Amino acid sequence: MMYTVRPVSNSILEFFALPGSLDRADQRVDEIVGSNDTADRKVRYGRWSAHPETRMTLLGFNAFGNALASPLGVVPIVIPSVTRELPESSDSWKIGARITRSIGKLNLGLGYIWGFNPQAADMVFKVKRTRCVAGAPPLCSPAPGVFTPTVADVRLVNDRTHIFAGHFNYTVEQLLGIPFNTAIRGEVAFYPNKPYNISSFPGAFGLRAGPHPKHPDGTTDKHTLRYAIGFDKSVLIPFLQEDPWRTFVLSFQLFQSIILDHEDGIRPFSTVEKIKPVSTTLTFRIGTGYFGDTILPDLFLSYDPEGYWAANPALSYVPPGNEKIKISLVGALYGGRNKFKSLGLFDEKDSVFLKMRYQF
Amino acid sequence: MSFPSSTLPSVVSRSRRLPALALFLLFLLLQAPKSQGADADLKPGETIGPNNWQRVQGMVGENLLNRIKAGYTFQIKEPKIYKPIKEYVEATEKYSGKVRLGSNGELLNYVAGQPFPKVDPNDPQIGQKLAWNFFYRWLGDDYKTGGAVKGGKIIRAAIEKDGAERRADLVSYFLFPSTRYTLDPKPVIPGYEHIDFMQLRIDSYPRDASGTTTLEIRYKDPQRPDDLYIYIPSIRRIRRATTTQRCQTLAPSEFNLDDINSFNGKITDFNYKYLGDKKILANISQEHLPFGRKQGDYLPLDEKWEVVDTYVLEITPKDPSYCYPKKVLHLNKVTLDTHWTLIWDKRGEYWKEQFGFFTPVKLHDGREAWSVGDVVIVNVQNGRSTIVTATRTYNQGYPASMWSLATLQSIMRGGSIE
Repeated sequence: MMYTVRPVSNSILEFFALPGSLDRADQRVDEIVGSNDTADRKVRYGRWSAHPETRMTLLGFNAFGNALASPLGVVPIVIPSVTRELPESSDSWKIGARITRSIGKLNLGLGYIWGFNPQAADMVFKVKRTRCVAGAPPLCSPAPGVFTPTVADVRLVNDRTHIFAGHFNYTVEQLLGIPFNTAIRGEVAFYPNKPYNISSFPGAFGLRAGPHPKHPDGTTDKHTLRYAIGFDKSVLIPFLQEDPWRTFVLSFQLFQSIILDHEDGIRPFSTVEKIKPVSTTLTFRIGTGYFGDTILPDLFLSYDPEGYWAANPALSYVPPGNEKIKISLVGALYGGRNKFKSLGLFDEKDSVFLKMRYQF
Repeated sequence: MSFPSSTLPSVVSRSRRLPALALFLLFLLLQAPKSQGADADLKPGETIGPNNWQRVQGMVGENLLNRIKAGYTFQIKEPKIYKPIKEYVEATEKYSGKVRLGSNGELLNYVAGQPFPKVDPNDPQIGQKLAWNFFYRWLGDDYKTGGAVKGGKIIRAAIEKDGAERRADLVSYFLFPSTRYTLDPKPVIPGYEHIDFMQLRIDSYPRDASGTTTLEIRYKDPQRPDDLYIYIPSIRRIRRATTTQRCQTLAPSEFNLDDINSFNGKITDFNYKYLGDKKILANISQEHLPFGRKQGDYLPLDEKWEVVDTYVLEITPKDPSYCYPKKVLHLNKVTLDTHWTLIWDKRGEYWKEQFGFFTPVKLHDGREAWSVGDVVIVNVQNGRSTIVTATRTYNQGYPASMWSLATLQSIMRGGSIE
């Protein structure tokens, strides 16, 4: 439900309360309850069910850690296996408010949400305990010369989150008397005490990371600021166009995430790659249409200053006699080799593919 | 005024590059066929075709005339007479007495109705006054474009030179919050005095574009650009856009932002010249929506044309970089809507030709009004054309809050407008 108060001025005040699946939401946050499981035969989804990596199972239980288990060796293994506790999603409701106002050409807004942050990449797990499959810590050795995996039981940090947010957009028609035709926009969000996983780098036994002495449960809270600033611009480049009045549409964005009072060792839960105090991504897109928009070139570029990049050139064809068909030749190129970080995740997966879309 | 409407302005444009004597001789040459050309004394029931195209020369655009020469045949019908909307006439009588033009062509003391009901051909400001009369013509208090089309949506067909067609469906909602004649509050919704109109447009077909929603706001302040917000479903974001790039082609159509309703530019951004009165061929009582036509062609095959009295208004931009150095409108003397729009490019060559049919529609109280029916724009240089069937339903009583960012946000969350 959403309640909106719209005075006749240029202000919009919105209050919203978005209930979770209160009727029957006793599935875990990552589960899908299928139609065969419910009396009303409806499919329900947990908050994070869209993210398949949280549904990885092996031998009937959540075995995300098992899938990543290190081979057994002559020395005890610190965390070869993880079992995770995921809460029920029944109270996923959120409340918030936002005020938006236009002052001349400037449109800006401030908002607040109290709820769960639904970004899978933001999941943080707290260590409950460590145990052995057999034997006892720290060696997990049930018999001389025999070692079994250590199991870490972790619990999802699922506290409600406050998010303070703002946005603005502003159009610049002219700059120094020259047509500029640009819309500038920005978004900002502040997350107080946002949880992160943290480890000590390097870890024992040659591992890249190990338990952090200051944070035995493997988590820490940091104020975090995230923002994006960018522009959208349409520009005429007559010498590149058969129709001199068909614009090229440009879009640029800068994303930054800033961890205030940063500590060394902060990392995502799933990998042992440090998160720096400031993470930056730049994106740029340009697209236009030729021959009555039957030929549609498009280029998307993304760059992470830590050395990762992606380029997605695409050329689409819409037959002039059938608006339902679109044939696209798309390239997906990535750079920066690190399968656990940023765009490096996709490195070695460069591809060029042809796709056809028919719209019913 | 029987010169070919599409020829004279072209000559005038080129005249800047020609010596005066050559221009004069050229003018005389072009005047020669006029005595054998347009004949406003066309009789209902008369058939026009390749054998007697001279009968309508100068009453239609050059491109359509060429199509007639090549075989297009149609009948002349009895002219349709619309009765002006009573409330609009009353507002004109009540408010027009105090309306003046400012030094930059802006409108002063305007409240509602037709700003300048008395048109004097000898008035040196008649062009500017006609432009304001056109801008503030009766358009209802609000309307849904496409509301009176079967299916309730605007149907747009983009036709390639070889006849291949692509279709798109959309709806648009207009609100005129400061010039209201029928719905309360009148004549202005409190708080909206500074706004001329607001438009909400939603694309619905094809699926690639479905859900794309734009909100456009036109302010009275001559210095203030329009606001334009676009909700883009693929990124689930509302984006701001500038509206000063008004010349950009709205591909795959041949329209641009300022071609909407024939001329949608900001009145104070242009100069206006009255070229005289003229009888032209139009269709203001379209019978079939959309009209019958051959696939891949824009010619109406099951419609008759009628003779209509118009004012001819030449529009030239104050900004020399503007895409249309010259646009000529033919304004209906009763409804002030445009029937023919002729456009030249910067080389002075004929570029686009637009004709709009109108059709009778009923208001809620049963009275007859008029609405645009089918509109055709032809790019005579690249051979592409676009047909839009966009008949309106007026005075729906939409709340002004519908034209707000909250509506875009509501659509973003899966809501719908109606």
